[in-house]
Amino acid sequence: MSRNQARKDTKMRIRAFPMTMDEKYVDNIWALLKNAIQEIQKKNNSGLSFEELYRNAYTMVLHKHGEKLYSGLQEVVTDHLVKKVQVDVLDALNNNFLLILNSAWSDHQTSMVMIRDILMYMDRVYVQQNNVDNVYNLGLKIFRDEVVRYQTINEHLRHTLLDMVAKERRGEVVDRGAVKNACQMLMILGIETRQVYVEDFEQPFLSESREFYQTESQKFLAENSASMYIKKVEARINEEAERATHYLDKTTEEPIVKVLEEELISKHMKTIVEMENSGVIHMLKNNKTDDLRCMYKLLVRVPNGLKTMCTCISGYLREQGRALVSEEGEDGKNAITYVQNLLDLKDRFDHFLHESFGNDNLFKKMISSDFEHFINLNPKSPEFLSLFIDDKLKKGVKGMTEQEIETVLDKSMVLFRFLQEKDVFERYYKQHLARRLLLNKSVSDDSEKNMISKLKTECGCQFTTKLEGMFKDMTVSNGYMEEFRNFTSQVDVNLGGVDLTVRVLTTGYWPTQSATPKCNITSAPRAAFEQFRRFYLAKHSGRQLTLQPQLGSADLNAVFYGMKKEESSESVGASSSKGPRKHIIQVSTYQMCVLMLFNNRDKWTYEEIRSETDIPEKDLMRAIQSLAVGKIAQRILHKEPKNKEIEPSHVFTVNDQFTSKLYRVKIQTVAASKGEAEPERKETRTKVDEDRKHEYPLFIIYVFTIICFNRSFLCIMKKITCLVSRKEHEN
Amino acid sequence: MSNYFHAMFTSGMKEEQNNVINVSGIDANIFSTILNYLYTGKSHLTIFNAQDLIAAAVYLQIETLISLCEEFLLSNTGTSNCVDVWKLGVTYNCELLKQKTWIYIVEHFKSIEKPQLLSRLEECEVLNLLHEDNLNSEDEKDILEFVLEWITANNCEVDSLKRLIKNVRLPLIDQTSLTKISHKYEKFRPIIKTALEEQSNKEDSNLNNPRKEKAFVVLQRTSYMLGISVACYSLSKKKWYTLSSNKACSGGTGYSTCSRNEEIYLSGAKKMYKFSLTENLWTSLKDMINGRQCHASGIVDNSVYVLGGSSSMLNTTMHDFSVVPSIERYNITEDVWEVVGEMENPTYDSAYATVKTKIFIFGGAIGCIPGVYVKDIQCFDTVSNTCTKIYYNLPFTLSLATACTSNNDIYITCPSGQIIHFNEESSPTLISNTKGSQLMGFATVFHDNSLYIMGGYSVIGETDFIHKFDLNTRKQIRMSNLKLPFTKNTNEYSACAMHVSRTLLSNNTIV
Repeated sequence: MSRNQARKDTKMRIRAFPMTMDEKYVDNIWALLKNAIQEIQKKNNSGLSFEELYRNAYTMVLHKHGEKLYSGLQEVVTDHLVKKVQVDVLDALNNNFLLILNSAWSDHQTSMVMIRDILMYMDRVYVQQNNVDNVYNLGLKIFRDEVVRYQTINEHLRHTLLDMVAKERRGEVVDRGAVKNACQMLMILGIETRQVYVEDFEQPFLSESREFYQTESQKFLAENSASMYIKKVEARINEEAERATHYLDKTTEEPIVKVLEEELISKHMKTIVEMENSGVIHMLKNNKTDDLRCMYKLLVRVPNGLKTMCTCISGYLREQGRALVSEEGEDGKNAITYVQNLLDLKDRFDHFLHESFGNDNLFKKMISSDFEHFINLNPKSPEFLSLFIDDKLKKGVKGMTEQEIETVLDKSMVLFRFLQEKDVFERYYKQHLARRLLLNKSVSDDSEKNMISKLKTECGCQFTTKLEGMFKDMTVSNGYMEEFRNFTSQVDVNLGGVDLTVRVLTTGYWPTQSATPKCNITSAPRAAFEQFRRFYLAKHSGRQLTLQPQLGSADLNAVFYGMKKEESSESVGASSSKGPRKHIIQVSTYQMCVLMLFNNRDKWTYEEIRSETDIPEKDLMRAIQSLAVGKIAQRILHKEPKNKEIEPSHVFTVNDQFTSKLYRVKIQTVAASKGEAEPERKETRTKVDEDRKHEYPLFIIYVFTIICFNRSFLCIMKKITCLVSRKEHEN
Repeated sequence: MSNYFHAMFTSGMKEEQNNVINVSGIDANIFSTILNYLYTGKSHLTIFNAQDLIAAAVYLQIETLISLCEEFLLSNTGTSNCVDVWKLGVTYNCELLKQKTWIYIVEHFKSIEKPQLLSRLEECEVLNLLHEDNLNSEDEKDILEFVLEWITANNCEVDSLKRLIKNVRLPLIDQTSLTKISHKYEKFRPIIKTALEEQSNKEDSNLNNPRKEKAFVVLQRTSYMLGISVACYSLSKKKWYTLSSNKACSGGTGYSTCSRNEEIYLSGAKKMYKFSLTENLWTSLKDMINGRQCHASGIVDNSVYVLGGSSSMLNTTMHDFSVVPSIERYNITEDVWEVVGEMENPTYDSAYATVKTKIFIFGGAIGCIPGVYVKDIQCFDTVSNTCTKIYYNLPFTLSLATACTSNNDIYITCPSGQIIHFNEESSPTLISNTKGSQLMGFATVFHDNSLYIMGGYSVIGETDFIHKFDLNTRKQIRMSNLKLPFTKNTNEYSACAMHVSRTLLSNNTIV
């Protein structure tokens, strides 16, 4: 419509052009072009006229004689390559073969560029319209078929190249340039594919290399040293890769390296890894970090290589780990050493991981799963780990800086991650934390809180609510004590000389025995505690406080009048030259109750003590053991007969000859850092099992007491720490 | 510039040494024009020298000049010379010229001056024409007559006719016309008869379907109402036809369309629909992964891509103009979506167009402030799946515009009425600066070297006019006899020019 309007006066006319041309004229033109092409092939090109030749080729194509030109060209090029080049190369089979072939190739390239240029118009029009090879590629194909793939030449070329590579592998010097030229030629002859190079050289090269390295791997293995083998393989791989990049085609690098990997690594990796006295285990045992790194680097190249190595290392690691966790010494392993050994083992393997295995994920996972495997073989692991941490967080130990403690705690957390029974750990951790808090043994609140936050990060807040609750109880209790002291000083309440410290503990946060043990607390501390109870309940009606004697402690002022010498007990009554010795004795609430009896009477049988104090058998036994048959320097009581066993009829008296270099004497309760005794362990387990059934119950508060008082003869000043528990009466 | 001279001066032949070179075969005037072009870049093409110039440019292998000549020749191609120009393209193997003139011949078949067709075409070329499903002819009988005329004019043998007539869709010609023609060409009567019998026996043959004709397919949607209506304008019959509407589509205000052959893909919200012109049927396809509105879309190979867009209207909170950055690909054969990338600068309300394997995104809004638009062009390459900004801060507002393509050329019509031309070889240029009211929701279609700008609404009202912008004269006119066939209701349009089966257009005329 509008198109025609827009162009109304200016119609473009296309003239028709004559399409026919005299045959004879065409023949003449072609004869001229043919002659020119032959001259170019003879390198006589300088006298030719580009303009004329191009114009002639143009004329032929324009007048639809493109086919004549194209097929003519094909003929002339073939003729030259068959009659001249092929013959020349064949003549040189035994003499400078590669050089002659390379120079024929380079001449061919030069002449084809010129021919392509004068026939450029044919490339643009005829070649495209008929979808045939362009001039240059046509030349390549003819050269490929008539020269390079002419059977005799083809075989000879392959042999020559392979032979040169073989010579070089044996250490001889070869003409790398000639090999490189030939390889480039094969690549170019493929015309945008690698086909010619692959078929005529790469495939035979790879299969010959495979054979060569099959033999060589046997030679290497015969030397029977894994690390030597690895070094040789590495060198060979580098050598072949370098050969490929420098004078073969660089695409060969990948396949040739793969051949080497298969022949030298994959096929023998199990042998190398497991080689006795030089394999992986040998390297691990002797800390051969560098060798391990080399092996890693080699095996990482092949499928399943790392797996093979991992399996072997894992076997060794599990063996080591199992030995550490199952060494049940006579008395059970010391928890600290137990954990320390595990940490050391972990450090050692972490070292390998960083230094030799490049932090490879597979190895990382393997180490983790192995540790998880053996750490859980021993059901005591959670307890021991908690004890280990306890040891690090306890006051007055080995002068570690906060930073060092932090590092150790971090490492412990790694072990913690491996634990399956994290709830068992929690249970112990709670006990140990309680002990640290109640006995005021923590090295610092910061470290404790730090540890709890680590646990929180690992397991979430539910895991640590109770632990944090314990901290809160401590703070709140300090507040109560402050108020209580103010109150007593203002109202002038008589505490009977007892310096009382009470900790009010929330039930559920703190570890307690299932039933509060009975204990007849001596009257003075009991009276002091009753004051506190009244004070507390006045502030918080509806709560219930229960005393927890098994967690308390006391400081007693004691005076010993006996001879300093370790003479027989008969001389107790004799005059002493040196006068009385004063000590402060730190004991548990139970022990306090026992010792206080001796203020009333000199001699008590075990049975009498038991019935008087009403302390549970097990606790009493432990309390008395520490006092009478424990360390020499702690024997406050004297036992008759003098043996380790304690029976109901055995008689106890005060050891008047007690001496100590220290003014303050702490009575160690037996079996502390060696872990729980078997029955208690069972109890802990039962509790954990219960907890697993239903998580945390009601709201109870425990109170802690420290009582202080003194008296004559033994004149014991006591600082008692008791436990009181309180129940909230809920509506 | 010239491969010829480059080869000549590096040939190692006489010319490398000689100071004087004789170039024979090129007219001195033409050679001087070429020299001028080589030095200044100016081609001075006229309808009188174009043929000689392209011949010389091809001879000397000056590719840029060849392109200029091709474009010039194309713009001067009409029904009186298209066959000659096409022949010129064939002789010098100029791809663009060949392709475009061939399409021209096919589309204008019925109006091409007969002598050209009869005298210039060879048998195989006639055969190729007959193969064209889109060969533009009202009635197949015209094609049969053309074949018979061509045979007669070229004194061809009967065998030629036998070969050709197999591709004439004889069953479509009514009996009266057929008898009349057979009567006229008495000596060919048996051949026509045999051919007709053969064709009638082949049931599933394409020969029973009429050839297609070019038509505008327009999709209309009213804001805030369900459904998409489709109308089709037959360029030959100059009439509108109703096609199947999509009643379920609630693509939101900003659906996006793209088309190929005889299919239109429409996406919006999470939905994706296909409208098949051959079946006149809407199909609901798999939902896209990330819903979006006002996004860009395009078809490359067998995949539909959706790019960017806004998620705001999806949850009816008007203040949330969040942009969806992802680019998703829908595989048409496998009916699966996958996310293939992200826009470099995620936008919505952009114009978009697809050329070969690249989807171009023009301008668009980027953030939560309505009315703030970028002036960039981004290109998503579907081969590498990467989106890159190719132009920054252009001096035009490209947002809310619509783009349409013709081969490699993209024409962007801006709300202001400005028209911008862009292709990969040349930077965006303003080709029309007519300032109009700020229209939105209009559609543009490229047809026959013109842009048709359809409908649109603005603050001052809505139009159902169609404007035609002639790319040769760069003049815009309002089509006096052509209006959109929809009731004004703040309509939004998208449109494309497609080849439509004539059967589809036989019913449902809109008056």
